[in-house]
Amino acid sequence: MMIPRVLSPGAALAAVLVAPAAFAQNAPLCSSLPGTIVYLESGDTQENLLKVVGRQLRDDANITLAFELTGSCGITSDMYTDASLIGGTILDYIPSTAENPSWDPTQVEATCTVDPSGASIAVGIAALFVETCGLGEPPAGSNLSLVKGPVQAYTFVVPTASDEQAIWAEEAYYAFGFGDANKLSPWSNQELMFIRPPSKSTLVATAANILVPPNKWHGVPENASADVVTAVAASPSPQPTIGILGAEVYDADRSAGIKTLAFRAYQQRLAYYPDSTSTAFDKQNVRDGHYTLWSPTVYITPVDASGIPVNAAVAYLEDLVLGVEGETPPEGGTPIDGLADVVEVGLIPDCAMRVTRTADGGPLSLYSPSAPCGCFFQSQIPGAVAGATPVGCTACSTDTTCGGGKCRHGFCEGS
Amino acid sequence: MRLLVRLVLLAASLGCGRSSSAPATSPGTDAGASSEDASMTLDAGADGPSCFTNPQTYLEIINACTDAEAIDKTDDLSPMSLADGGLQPLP
Repeated sequence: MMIPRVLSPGAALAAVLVAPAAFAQNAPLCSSLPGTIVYLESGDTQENLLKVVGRQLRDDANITLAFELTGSCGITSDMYTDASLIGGTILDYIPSTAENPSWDPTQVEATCTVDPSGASIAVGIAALFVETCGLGEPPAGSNLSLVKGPVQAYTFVVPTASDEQAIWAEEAYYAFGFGDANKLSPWSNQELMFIRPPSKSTLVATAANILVPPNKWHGVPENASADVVTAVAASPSPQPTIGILGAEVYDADRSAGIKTLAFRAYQQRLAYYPDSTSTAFDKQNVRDGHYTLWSPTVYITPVDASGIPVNAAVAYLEDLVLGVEGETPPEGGTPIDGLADVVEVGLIPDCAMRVTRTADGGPLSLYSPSAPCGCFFQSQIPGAVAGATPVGCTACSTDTTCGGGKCRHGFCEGS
Repeated sequence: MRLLVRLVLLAASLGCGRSSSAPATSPGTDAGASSEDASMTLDAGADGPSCFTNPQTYLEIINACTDAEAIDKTDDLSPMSLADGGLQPLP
């Protein structure tokens, strides 16, 4: 029996009376953890970011993120219906250095148990446009705000032993839309096509780009991105094997026996990787529009009349991932460089983008962020030399050295 | 090998490679005409622009000149495509 993890307000009383089996586990109550507890739901593509930021928030800002990784469309629905986490639900959290000095983001999270009375979800992090889930603006009177966070790229991956280097949108359409009935090789065996459930952003966002509706996909649904990695890497038949992943999941697993395919969108002449080369981490092609498989993450949270999240810890989290400079933890502590965290885990800050879109799979248009951070982004990507100034950029400490531009995050930016 | 895969290092100074087939389906965009501001880089003997040096529209953005590694490959979609090259409806 599937145990519900959230309930709408009308069903909350019943939920309190029906304790899930999860209570049997020995995880501590989430409310017993130190500091401000932020209960959140997130797409699993954001797990690495939550791990990295979560560790810093625990160590430096007295904030604990207690989160459940689930499908983006379900998250949006939960937020729109003001659903609460059921008492007894097991959530993940990141241990502080004091609690577990040896923990690092390659390890699994610690777990805690939601109090018997349940818990309100302070923020939902979806990894695609809410409209793609069939939802529009937040319900009237909900006071929910949708804030576009870092950009999430998606990829097609194949075993390292595969000869394939690129996939056209048309090839993906026939592979995933027809499965075993696809007459094009090599992707015509749906038992070797490892996909995600139709509520997951990785599938839903990719579906919008290749024009195969989520409920029409053929393949083996894997419940977690890590399972896709394992299945693709372990396939005994490399040529017909293919999977879909978030690009940052791929970035963290490049040595796991998989490789990314370059993608050629409809109406595009050539195929491109998310990065400038198959081995780079610069997300150049996502940022300038040559690679079209991406969506913004969307932070959904209640706000006040001024549009500020009512939960100060959530406001701080949003500022971190958006790269707002000069923010300090709401309850004191050491400022955190959230923008560096975003880049480290393979996401792209909105301020480093040069194109934008208004719908998953929709057209790209030129974009000039209000506070650009392209040079900072380049300085932080994996492989960048610490302290070095990227080619074409100028290091700065004040605006005066920027020739009319602005000094942002240590580099002169255009505005 | 079934596919002829060609790695093309696209540099604006060298021009851009060309795709091996005409796109069949539009994602429903502004991808029609090129903007007047966009400059085109032409391949010798080409029947159209291969990349755009000042992209403005969606079509120009995704086909802009770049120094990024690009991959071209020949492939035959005809076993699945409609006679006019369009996408066969999903089952």
